[in-house]
Amino acid sequence: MFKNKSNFVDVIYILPAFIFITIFFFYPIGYIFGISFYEWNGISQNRTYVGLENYRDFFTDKIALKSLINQFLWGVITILSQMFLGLGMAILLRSQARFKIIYKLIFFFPNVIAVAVVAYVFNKIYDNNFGELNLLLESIKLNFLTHPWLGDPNTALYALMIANIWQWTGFSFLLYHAGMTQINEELYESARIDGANLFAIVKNIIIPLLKPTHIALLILGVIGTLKTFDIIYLTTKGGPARSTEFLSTYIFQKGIMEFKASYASTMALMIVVIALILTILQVKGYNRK
Amino acid sequence: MLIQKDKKTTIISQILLTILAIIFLLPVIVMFKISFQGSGFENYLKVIRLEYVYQFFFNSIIIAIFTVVLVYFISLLTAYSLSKLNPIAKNSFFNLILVGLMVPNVALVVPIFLLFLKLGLFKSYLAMILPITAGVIPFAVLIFKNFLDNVPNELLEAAKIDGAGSFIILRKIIMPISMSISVVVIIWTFLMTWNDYFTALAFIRDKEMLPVTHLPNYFLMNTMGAGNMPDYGPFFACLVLISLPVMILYVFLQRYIEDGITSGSIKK
Repeated sequence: MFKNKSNFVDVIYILPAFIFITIFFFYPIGYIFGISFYEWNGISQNRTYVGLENYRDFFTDKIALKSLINQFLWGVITILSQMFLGLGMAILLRSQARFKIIYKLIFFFPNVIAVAVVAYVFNKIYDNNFGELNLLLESIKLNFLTHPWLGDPNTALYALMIANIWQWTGFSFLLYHAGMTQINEELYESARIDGANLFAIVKNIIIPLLKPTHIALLILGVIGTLKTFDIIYLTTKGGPARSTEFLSTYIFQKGIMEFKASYASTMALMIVVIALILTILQVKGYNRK
Repeated sequence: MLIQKDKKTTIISQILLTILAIIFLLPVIVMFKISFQGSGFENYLKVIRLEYVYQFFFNSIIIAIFTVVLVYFISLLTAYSLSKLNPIAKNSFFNLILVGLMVPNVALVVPIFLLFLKLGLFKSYLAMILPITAGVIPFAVLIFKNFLDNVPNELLEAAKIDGAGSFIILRKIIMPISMSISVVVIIWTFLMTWNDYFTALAFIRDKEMLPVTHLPNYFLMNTMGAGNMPDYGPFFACLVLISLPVMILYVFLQRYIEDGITSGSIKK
């Protein structure tokens, strides 16, 4: 605007952010790529060049595979549930119901609470002996349903998914709610005159018109899944029997607790690659508008 | 109205919304309920009487203040340049910042851990302030940029004709008109900093520097003997106390928090 030609002076404003991004994103990405070809504990002077051995280990590591499967299931189930519920809630708010402001306040409320707090609360709710869930089941005489929710490898992952869905559905709801304010209400009226019911309006008008929101939620959901750590670490630590292990918790265990810096970095690189692919998709979408 | 206005449909919507609202409130109610279990309000007094509790709150406040200030200035400067000025490689810079938005911090924990080890930062607040700032900057730049893109250039042209340089315009025009969006950025930065658990877990090795999210664990270790059952009442009072600031902030500044989500996630 000030100078029509690109110039160096205006770069000065960007410099501080650039330094931060370089030190905390690009330097580490280069670093983990570099040490993924070595056998190294992160501290000692000696590092041995091992070529692609870490990669071979990764692709034959049963725990890493288990983590990927867990994370894949987690992503698919939580993202889709949150989108489905969030959209449903946003649609319900487009009615004549009263106290809408309060519902909105409540639905988004879990988003502002620390994941660490949510983890402790659900840990208690799911507790086998003193947990509110089992106590509730006992009080309504459904004793046969009581269960060590986080202690059983078959239920732990799903129990934690519910905590995650509880916390983040409000996010999907809010984006759908904002997206729907952009849709012209007259479209609904004319569709209704043509005999369309609510289901048809949602299917043929709302869902197609909210495409940018679906995409944003899918991308943010995948990123959120890759980032998920606190809730696992503070409840099951990846157990029992690795049933809730994630790449993030596994990387933390290997890299920070067991000093397997190079192997942890190789796994971390996989996450970075997935994130970078998504970034390219995101940038393409962003530039198209 | 998307949903028909007749009475029956309205009542059904109202009932469904209420059921959902109760489900969403339930874990929060459970948290408050357990915090009064046993000795009632005395649980809170038990927590408040512990001297180390103040240290955790003090740490979080210090970390939040520095992070908020850094994020605000750095992000506003960057967004201003990307939106209204003409730096070389403008698009490349913006794409680099988007990478920061997408790459999860857990993936980069090992190199930063080793870097801090070398620099001896494990006993400094900087070990939290710097990584969190770096993590929030991309999000904050996006919010500021989306806002500034909608500010008409004519507003700045007039000042430019009067001979104002780009920095004067930033101070005299951009900063005042971006007040409300700045509140959004500041609140979000505060929330993300206050709720952070991972950064401290990875990079803080001094118990006296830990933030509030680490208080529950510390409290458990200090009050529970080996093999004993945890005293849930005071423990949950602890959880309520660390959540209270963000809850109050949310209830009073709901609009700003929601604006942050919508303007940071979708381009308008």
